[in-house]
Amino acid sequence: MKTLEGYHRQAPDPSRGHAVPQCPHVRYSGPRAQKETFQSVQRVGHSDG
Amino acid sequence: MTRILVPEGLLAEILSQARKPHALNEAGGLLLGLRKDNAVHVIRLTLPKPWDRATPVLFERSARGHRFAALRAWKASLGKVDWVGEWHTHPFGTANPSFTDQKSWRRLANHVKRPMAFIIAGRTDIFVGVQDPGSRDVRRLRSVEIDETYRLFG
Repeated sequence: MKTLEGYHRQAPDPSRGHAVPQCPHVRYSGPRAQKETFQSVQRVGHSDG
Repeated sequence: MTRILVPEGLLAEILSQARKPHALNEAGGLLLGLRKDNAVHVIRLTLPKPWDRATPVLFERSARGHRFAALRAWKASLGKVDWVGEWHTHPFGTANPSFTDQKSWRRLANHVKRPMAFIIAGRTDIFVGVQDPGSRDVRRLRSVEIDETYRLFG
């Protein structure tokens, strides 16, 4: 438990006045989309062959 | 090596988003917290906003809404509460990150130039990792310590 307690007590990094969080738009995809993409690549590869 | 400190209640909230019986689409948001020596201390998250785009296999987190929440927390804490990572769900699959996820994480960590924490909740499992700026691969973390309210991943 000592590690966790140490982090609780530890002060955060000092304020960095220039570091305004920007949080730009981002895109994620799930496993099914990945599988479909992979299958699409296979289909394209097959037709090319 | 960066570790991640996450409140149990926050982990439960992320898991519940993936395991809702009516969860048809992916969900996601920001992780806000404190940066400490070799650690990211997550203290809150943002929930999906109306401007996000979500399907069963895709989640696009808008900047709108989430950025405002991050800025508000940052100002209220006099610059200490930072955008430290992101979470999203895979309601119809495992928590393993897709290629799109990994590519997005690399881009975000390089943008911030600091380690970023990433959490994915799947239907039956959870992924917790750290992406360092300039690094190709995300580093998967395991639960190494638990107390009454927090879980430490390292």
